Amino acid sequence: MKGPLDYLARWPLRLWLAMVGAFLYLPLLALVVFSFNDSRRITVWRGFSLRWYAELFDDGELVAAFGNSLVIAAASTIISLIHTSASRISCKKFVAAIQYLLHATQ
Amino acid sequence: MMLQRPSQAPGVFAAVGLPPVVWLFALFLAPLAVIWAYSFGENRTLVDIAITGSWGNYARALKPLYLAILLKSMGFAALTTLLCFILGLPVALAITFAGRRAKLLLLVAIMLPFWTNLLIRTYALMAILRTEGLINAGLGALWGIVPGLPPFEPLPLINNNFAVVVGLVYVHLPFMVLPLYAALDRLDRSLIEASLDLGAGHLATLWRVVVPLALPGIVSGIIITFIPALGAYLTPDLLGGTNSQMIANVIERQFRSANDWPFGAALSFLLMYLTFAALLIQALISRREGAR
Repeated sequence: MKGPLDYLARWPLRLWLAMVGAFLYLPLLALVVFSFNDSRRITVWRGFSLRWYAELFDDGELVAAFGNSLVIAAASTIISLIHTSASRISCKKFVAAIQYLLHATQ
Repeated sequence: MMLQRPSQAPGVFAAVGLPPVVWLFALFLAPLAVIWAYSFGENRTLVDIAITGSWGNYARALKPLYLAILLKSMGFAALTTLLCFILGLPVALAITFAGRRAKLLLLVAIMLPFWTNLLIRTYALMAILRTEGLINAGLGALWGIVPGLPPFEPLPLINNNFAVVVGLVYVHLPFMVLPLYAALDRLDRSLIEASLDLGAGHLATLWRVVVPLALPGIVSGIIITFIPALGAYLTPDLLGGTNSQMIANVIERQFRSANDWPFGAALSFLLMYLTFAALLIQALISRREGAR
């Protein structure tokens, strides 16, 4: 049964969600689809190909950079985990305020 | 569990509490203080900055040229916030009143682009908006079907103010939806049901019951969207043209190509003071709401 607060079941809201979803996802989807395109151009579909992915893994610098990103991301996650748990134990309220400020101004 | 007071185990508390405090001072407050001091200085040589205590940099930052860019940035950020609110409020409502599975799915759907690299998202938008991008290519193809039309003129969708606002809304939408959802989720549903029972329509209920009750959450959504939008750098840099620069682009230019760190510092701190003012307004509003 449709209750008065089942907003998700109403078509105007569904249409709205579909519009926002299209706005958020179509650009990313286009990028993904055209990464399989057998052409340099992003507007003309020239057939399916994995050639850009092959080039990606052939490029030693790119693979090395990806490795660097992984290492740095892991290291900063671990360091911030240690720091935030230490801060939480010592001064919960103060840190919450600082985190809020940092989050808001980033 | 027994809680320990700091006086009972000073060593433990020092060991746990000191690193974050040192970190905060050495890596956040101290560099910020240096830049703040620079904002009262002037360039002596290419690398040497003398702190002279003059207000000259701030006076220059408030000249019409820079003030206009600052005001324009605030306009962009305000428009972005408004559009995010209009787009995001129905989404937040839908998430709030969705079933458990749908709620989780929608929240992930809102967060997922947020976890994608900003640079990649901006280039994705460029691929769509470019003169030879997908929108113009699609419109051009449709145009070609109809016989007897003049040659297709691509729409100017990129390197202008329009593209910057689209990009800012694209990037900042989750900043708005999540606080709105958090506020709406705490709402007492019986009040909404009562309003609907007593004859108010859905829009009247939304405007006269939901929005006033969720006002603190709406304000924090507005602030949390407005502040990063005001300081946005990458979006206007990549999507904007020469006339759609925002304040962050001007600041970047001072620090890099113009090599005028004191002036860049003054501009940065003007932006920071605006941020603090926005946070102060939020604090005042939430305090007034709490007092009621």
